Amino acid sequence: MKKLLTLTAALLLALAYAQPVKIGILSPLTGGAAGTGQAQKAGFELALEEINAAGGVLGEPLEIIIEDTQATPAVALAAFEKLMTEDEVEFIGGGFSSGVTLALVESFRTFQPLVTWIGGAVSGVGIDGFDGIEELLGNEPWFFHIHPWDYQNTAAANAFIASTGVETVGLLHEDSAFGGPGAATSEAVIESQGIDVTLREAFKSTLFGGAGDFRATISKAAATNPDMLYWIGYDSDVLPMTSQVRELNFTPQYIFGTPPGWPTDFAAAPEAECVAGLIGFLPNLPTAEAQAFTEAYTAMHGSEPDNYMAALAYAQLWAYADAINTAGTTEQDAVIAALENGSFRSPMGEWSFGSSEITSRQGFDESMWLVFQYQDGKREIVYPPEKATAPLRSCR
Amino acid sequence: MRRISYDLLFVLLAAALLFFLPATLKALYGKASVSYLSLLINATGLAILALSWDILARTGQLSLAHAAFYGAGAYTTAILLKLADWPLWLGIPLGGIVAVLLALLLGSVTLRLRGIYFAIATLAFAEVLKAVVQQLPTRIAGGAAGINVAALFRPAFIPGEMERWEVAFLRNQSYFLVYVGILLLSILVSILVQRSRLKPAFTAIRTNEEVAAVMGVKPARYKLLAFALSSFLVGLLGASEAHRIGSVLPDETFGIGTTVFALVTPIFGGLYTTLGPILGAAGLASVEELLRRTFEEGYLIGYGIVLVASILFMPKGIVGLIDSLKRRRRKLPRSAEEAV
Repeated sequence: MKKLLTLTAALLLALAYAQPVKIGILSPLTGGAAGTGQAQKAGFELALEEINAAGGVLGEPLEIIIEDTQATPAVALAAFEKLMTEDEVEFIGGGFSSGVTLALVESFRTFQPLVTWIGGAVSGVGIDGFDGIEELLGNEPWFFHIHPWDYQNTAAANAFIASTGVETVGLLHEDSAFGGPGAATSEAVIESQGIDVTLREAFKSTLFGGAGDFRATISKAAATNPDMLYWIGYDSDVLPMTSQVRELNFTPQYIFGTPPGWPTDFAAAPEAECVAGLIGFLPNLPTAEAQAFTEAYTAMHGSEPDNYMAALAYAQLWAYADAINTAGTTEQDAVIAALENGSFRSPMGEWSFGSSEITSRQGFDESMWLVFQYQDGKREIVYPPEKATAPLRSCR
Repeated sequence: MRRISYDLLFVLLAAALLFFLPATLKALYGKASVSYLSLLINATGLAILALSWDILARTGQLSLAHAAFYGAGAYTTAILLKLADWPLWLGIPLGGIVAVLLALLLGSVTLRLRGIYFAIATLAFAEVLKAVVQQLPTRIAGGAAGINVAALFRPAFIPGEMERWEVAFLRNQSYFLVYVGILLLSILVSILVQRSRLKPAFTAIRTNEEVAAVMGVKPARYKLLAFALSSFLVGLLGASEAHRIGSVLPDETFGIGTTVFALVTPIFGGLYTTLGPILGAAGLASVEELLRRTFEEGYLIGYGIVLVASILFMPKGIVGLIDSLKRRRRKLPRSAEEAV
């Protein structure tokens, strides 16, 4: 009888202490970057459902608490401190915007939770007198980055440009922290490959209050008659940029853009035909992982994933779940070791953390990027060749 | 004179209460006080933004350049630290002074503009200033990537003697007191404007500039004074925020959102008063946070509905609503109250 009572008490105690693992997510659900935030949310929801259907984390259903950062530094700071002190989470996920990430550096260092972070790609590498995110957080053992850095994005874009055989490129870029430093680096790298950059011209993105009239900038580029028009801007610039290129009868051989995302249903617009772009994930990626993710995502959300941030968010949550289950505990050192040594599932295929310029906890590099081209109302993968679903077409 | 004494007493009382607020929150809520202080810092910043804008609006100038002065303050401290490694604290008053110089420049060239023309000119000024900052050599202003700004407070973590959240508490407490200091200064400036001959001068200019001039009020002088006071306060805020946020970036630091909040908050709270912008900031910050915590999805829709409803049903803001309730209790007609 005494044994039974002891056993019952121990069981009750264990149940009382069996708290579900909570992961705090910081994501821009509203504001100018809401498209990215909503895509991340959709990816997290799918991963959460799958993880809990598979038994959860440490035998309990996993919980996520999503806080809206509005992509605004002060709002993000308050949201992070709420997650740490009111919700008492031990793990932080989500992430977007270099400005937001820079605002969180001091507070991250204070609390030192385990952070895996999507976005915030401004590494600081190669920018004199400015400390970027990789420089500030790259050596922190509790910080894992899940998105290629800016120099890796540039390398991917330039590899594609070189593969097309063009001799001249006209480079238009928006003038914020996203497009400004990247364009300067791109120009140098493109020219180092023997390709002439006929013009590098900045424009004001519609995301930051620009009127969306790029005609003057496009005309300048057209006057230099480049083989390729390469533009760096935001999702909201896609439609005005491509429609004004047509309107001005500017017909370079290739039109290549690298916004973080592309507008939903843009494929159906006549301006889309022949436009090429860089993207982290496409539903028609010819792999079993991509197909499984696309089917599950479509079943849950009613449409195919059209923003690669959904795929990265899905990969991030599964990495947390697998690492904590492998560690068998939420103790930080054990989970860090599991993240460092494990390999994880994602719609882009199996992945693990490796090294970049500074950090040794970098998830995904330039090889994540795909180049697609709108062809006959569909997005066909045209680069790299081993993942291509169709050959690249000339726009002339 | 007696009214000023009462006002000063009120400010001193408010200062004493706010000074002890962080410790009270810590005693009541423990580690959650870190999060509450973070929200209070944002709300205090919003109150400074709104009150400083309202001081200028009292002369009838609908300025859309508030983001420019905020950004000028932020970039001044950032550039000084980057180039000359100046003492951290010096950048904050200098940020206010640079904002004043820019405001005097803008004010002097827009003196003859009114209404929508003035608003457009000030909006353009903010954009031009941002473009200038972006075009400055990278070694000075950091270009599109921006500049890192050192934190004003870096409390040390002492293992075994404190928990990590206490470090965050000490940091937030210090920033909160800085923001409260700027808010109290803004309140004092506002009270001095309201209780001195500046009030009738500002009101006369707002009502009819020509008539004011005929009455002996010098519109140019008073408008520039309002510009200077307003920009100094928001310049201080911009500089302090740069240290708290840790960086300045052209698109975020000069973002139009700063101007929009500076304009909407006094309208919500009550224009041309000291209390209105503060109540507006407290009200809007509370409503947004309450909605955010209540509704997982679409809380901004609720926020928008509150704003629209307040403009429809409280055209004079919260202060106007309080006045009207007071009138009803006293059963005074509108004209009688206004005469008082």
